[in-house]
Amino acid sequence: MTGHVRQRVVFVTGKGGVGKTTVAAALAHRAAARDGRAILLEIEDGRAAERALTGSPRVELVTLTFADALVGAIGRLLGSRLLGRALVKQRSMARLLDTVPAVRELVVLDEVRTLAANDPEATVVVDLPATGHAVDFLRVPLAGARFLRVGPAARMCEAILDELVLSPSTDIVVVGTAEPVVARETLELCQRLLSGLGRSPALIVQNRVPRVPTQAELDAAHLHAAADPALLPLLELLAERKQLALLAARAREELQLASGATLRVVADFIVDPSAAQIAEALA
Amino acid sequence: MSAGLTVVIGGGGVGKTTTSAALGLALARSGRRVLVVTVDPARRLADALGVSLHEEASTIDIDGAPLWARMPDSSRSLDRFVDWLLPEPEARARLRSNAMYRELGDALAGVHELVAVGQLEQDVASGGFDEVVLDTAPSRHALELFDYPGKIGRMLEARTMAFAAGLGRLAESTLETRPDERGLFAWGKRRAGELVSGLLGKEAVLATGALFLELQGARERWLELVQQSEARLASASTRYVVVSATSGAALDDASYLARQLRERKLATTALVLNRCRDGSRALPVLDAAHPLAAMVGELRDEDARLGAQTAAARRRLERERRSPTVLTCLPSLDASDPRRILLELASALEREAWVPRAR
Repeated sequence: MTGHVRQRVVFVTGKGGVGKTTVAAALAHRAAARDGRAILLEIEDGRAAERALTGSPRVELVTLTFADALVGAIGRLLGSRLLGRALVKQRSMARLLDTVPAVRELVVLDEVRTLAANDPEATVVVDLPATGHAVDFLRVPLAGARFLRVGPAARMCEAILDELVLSPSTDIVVVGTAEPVVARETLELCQRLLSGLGRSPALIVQNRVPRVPTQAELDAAHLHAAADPALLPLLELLAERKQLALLAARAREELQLASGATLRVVADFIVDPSAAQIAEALA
Repeated sequence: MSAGLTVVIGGGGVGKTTTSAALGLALARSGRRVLVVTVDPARRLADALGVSLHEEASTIDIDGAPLWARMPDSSRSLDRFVDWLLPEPEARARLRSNAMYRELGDALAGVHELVAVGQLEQDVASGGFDEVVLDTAPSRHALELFDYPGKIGRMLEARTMAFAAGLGRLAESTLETRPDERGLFAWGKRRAGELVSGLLGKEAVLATGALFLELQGARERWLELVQQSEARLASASTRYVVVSATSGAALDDASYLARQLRERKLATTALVLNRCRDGSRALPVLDAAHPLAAMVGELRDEDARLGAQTAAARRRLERERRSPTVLTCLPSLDASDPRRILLELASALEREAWVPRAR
């Protein structure tokens, strides 16, 4: 896709520690391989993404800070970045903006919207905060539009909804792992996306799924462990792995049923896979 | 007597909740009355304890040691907090019908932190517990918890409150020009007010102004809470525990948090490195001709890689650690039963000098 059709914006979310940033980097890596370039957008802190992006020179990493997003968004509302900066600096205003809820989420989302609108030929992958906060984050413009109703700030909320959060050219990608606790939270996240935003993820990535021992391997292990007690810990470990794989498969079925999303497994990696390895698994 | 407080912080997915629950259990087994509170919007504490948790503290029996745990429900906590903040029923009713409060009151990050700070102070000061363990939300959200009391304190300064309330007046006409306010500052404030009114629309500004007027009425009560919370967080008896896993991202988060604590002049009691492997999983080395050689070799390699990752993580944390912070390593367990994990980690923590003994 080139020219007039805008590339996709991809929001990546999931429970903390599941490899969300690495998956976001992998998605940006793939988009760049396809289109020539892509943008990976981090909020507040881009160090983890920088590490994950090693070897993806065609992905541009953008780290968005709240302070910059605030000046940008208010500047756009006022039609002047200078005026925006002056307003943000006004002391009482600064304290108010620092404490009033929703301001942070709104200005960050508006900055994402603007970045995507200004660069329609690049896929923009956004690494969202971890589960729980992510749905709240994306719901802020809905609440804002309802509360404000009229005026430029209300229109900003509507634009964020139309062009970004609820837009058909925006995808949500949810990342989880094989662990039962994580799988349950992933399912809850999908349910909250649906009830809170009316959206389902386009893709669910189950990361770090260990390699499942084959039946032949299990049989062989049992046979040899009967003769050699030194192999008993192997049986325990394989049973644990098999159980985990079983739970992971069941979680995938539940997720598929609940969301209708495409599911991808990053298998055979118990140690953190790299962005390139994930990109390969997603292909 | 108020309780001792332990604040557990760390990046996402490092095992903060399990560590908090295990620490709570270790303290409970030493005969103390312990409450574990989670601010994490996810359900991990309930999962770690293998029970369902609610807004009110409930008792859980783990191998004979009673432990209390609580998981605040964000919208109900907010209601309770408002009840406490505004004792007068009419003021409460006005606040609840305010459009800004209704639409933006719950489900927002900042509000969770605010309510959590308020309730934490009540838990600690209640006299019902000897120890309170606070399991925070991942990384930067944990720091917002510390910043919130101060932020609210600054916002509650009369000047900012008057400005917000003035916005409400502005929406109806123009900002009243007070004779005692002249010069560039007053002009700037008026100009800012006009701009905000133009951006947000009259009704929204009215609602915002009304909300702040309402809160201004509760100013004294709020400031008192802010001071108590700040004193509690800064108290020498409050323990800060930074939890990490062995991955690079988790270690970066831990270093960042430890640095943030230092900048706030708060002492880190312990750095806990979770899921440590020593690379000596009990698997034999098999002869190449053995039919299981490939599989066992693969598992041994994996164990060795995780062992090396653990060793590197330990070295890094040891290097970054400042005295008197202690480094505690907790093992990675090949188990899926949450209670078994909890019991084993509690036993490991009981051996640590920074964890109080039985009295």
